[in-house]
Amino acid sequence: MDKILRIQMGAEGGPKAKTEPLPAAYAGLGGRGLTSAIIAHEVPPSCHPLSEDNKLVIAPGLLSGSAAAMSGRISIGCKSPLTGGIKEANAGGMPAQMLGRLGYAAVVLEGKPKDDTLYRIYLGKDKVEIRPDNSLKGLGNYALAEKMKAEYGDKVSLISIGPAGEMKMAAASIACTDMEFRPTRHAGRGGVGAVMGAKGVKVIVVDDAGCGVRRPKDAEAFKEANKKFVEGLRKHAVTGQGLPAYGTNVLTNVINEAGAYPTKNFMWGRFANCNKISGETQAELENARGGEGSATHGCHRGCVIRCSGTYYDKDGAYLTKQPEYETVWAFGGNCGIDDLDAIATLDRLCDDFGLDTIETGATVAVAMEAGVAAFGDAPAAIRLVKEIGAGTPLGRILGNGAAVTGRIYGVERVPVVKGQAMPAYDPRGVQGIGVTYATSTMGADHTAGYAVATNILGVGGNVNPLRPEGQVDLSRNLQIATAAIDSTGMCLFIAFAIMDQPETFQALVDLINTFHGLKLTADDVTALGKRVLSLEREFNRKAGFTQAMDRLPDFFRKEKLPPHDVVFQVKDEDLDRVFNW
Amino acid sequence: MDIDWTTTRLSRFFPLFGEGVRIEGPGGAGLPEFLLQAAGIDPDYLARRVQTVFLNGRPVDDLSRAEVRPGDRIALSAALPGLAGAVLRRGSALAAMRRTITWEEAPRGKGAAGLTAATLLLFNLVASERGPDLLARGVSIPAATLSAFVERNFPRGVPPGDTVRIDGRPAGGDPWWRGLSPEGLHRLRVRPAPA
Repeated sequence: MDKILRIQMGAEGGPKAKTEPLPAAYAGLGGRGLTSAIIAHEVPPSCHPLSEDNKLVIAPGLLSGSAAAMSGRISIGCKSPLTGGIKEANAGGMPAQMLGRLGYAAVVLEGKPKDDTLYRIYLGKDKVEIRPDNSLKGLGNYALAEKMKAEYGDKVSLISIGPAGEMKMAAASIACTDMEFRPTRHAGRGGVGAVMGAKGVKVIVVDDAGCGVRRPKDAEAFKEANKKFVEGLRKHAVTGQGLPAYGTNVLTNVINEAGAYPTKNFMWGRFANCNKISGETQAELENARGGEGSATHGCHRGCVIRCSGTYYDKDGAYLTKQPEYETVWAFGGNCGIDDLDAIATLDRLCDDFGLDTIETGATVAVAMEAGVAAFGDAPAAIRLVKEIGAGTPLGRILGNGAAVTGRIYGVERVPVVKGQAMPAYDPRGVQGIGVTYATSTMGADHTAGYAVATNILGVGGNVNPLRPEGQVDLSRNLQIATAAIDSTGMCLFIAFAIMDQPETFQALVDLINTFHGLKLTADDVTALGKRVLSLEREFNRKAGFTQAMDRLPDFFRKEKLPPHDVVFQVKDEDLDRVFNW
Repeated sequence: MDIDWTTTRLSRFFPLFGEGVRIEGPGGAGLPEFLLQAAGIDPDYLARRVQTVFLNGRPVDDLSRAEVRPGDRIALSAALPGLAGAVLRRGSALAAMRRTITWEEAPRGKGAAGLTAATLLLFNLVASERGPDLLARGVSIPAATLSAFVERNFPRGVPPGDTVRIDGRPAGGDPWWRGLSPEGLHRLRVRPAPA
């Protein structure tokens, strides 16, 4: 992984590819660290996100393509058409491992075609092929995958957009195929799919045939570190038991119990029918229906947590992958829908059209509040999402997200920060998450400050949990740590095991060090996180972001959230301290 | 009504704990003692496995200081993923992030003597690990909750291999659950069918 592939989509005579060595300025970076560094250094912050000046950067992690467990995340970065700021969205699936084996630290799409021709790109060993293919226009991700499989077989992987990306909708995602060659793993947030659509690229076929697994600098030590890392993940209650058994939807009942489960467009903190869509109910349903990989399944080769699954309909036919907690919430409690089959159908539609399920679910809920449909009306929600896929006038509005939809329908309660819809935790219930929602460089994002504790990384020292300002300090520390972990390209779900088990954290550091021949310490990891965040903050500042944008919508300070009847209480001046370091 | 159910698939009933079952324990007892007496959940399991505890929807950090009162709602969960999972954990280093909803001991008057009834919810691994024992002992469930659960999960009637007896008589009719009284509490006992 010592090279960058740049594809100039607007070159004279058609797109041109160029491979270059990884510049020194980007050395040692992977995943989000690399996407954000390239965007910050190479993209004019004031450019239009759909213009030729924006770039789409696709970067595997530092260990992708190696034998390291959990190393199959891919980061996709650009200037976001949803937030207007810097964006990194990441996904599982197979492309990260294959790009790593092909030796690419990043693939950068630049410029834009001079007409509306749609292109496909093939990346193989020592081969890059770009060709126009307008026969792909309008295809859903599933039909596209079938078509590609007929041509290339199922040993390749795909990075693709659906109709939403082609229509350059701000809620458009980028799909990555999973181990079964299904387009179920999405870099969802921020409208990255719209930028790929603006580049005129429908699909990138990644073929690692003939490429071996990436070799570590110190094979024996790496093998030992990987063994300890896997042992640590398997023995931990979250990564070894809870996530495999119930998936991320294990959170539904608990967040609901805490009164922090945003219900019917953030009107309440509890959904009366949440148990009907909980992870426990979902797992039981999937197990009862059976089928290959039903309740426990990995999203990429090398995953040992296996938090995903496969959702079969009542007749046993494949419908979609196991919907994640955020998806179940977005279309479930947030829309007042308590039918898992309907939610799975909505998940399938989003994957096929290439839509972020969080943004789309939040948008449907805003539309429901506006009276476009009734809360709880699952067929209406399905109809609305189909409008997006069809590109009707209403669909064009909805496909551009909750903020746009709220503005057009005159809705006051629009749960967005920097234009991006909030995920499934009400910030009035868990106020520290609200701090991260408000101040993240990415817009409202639940993964921006993850559970990588201060006691491991030592970012910022000890925090007194009894002090009100503690949540600001914690949010800062978590955002720093998360930016660093994102830059390794490791799955964020390793966080619990490395938080609770120092030996597992050490195994992770050893993995990186033995692979690359480095001597990283926890301090280096902290410095990396700060560097990434500083780059992102500076980009956003130049793009016109101010402190006034590091705020939650006003209604969170005014409307009490039942059942605990709390409002968001963190002061603005405290929010403005988050990035003081 | 007393319902005795033998089943080939005990896990079907675990989501019932997400709705809540009624338990009775010693009035004025702290959470660990109450859960031991009322649900057979021993303090060691509580300390080791149950990482997240709610009392009336509020995360509890120090179990020994939480006293159960009539009508309380107790929820137990194993460790959870995600930032929210970490934040809600008992004694979490991130507890400041949910400060406004954390359970705090407040004067609530003296606890009642005798038995105290509370609602118990078990989530995820705790439901699958403690559920079989509780179901075998028998749990009390509001009639409406049980009727809705049965109607939703057994729309085609008693599954093949299962048997259901209501107040000692085999359940029959179509749909059979309509015979359940809609009022009060039902006592449900579920055991695995002999292999």
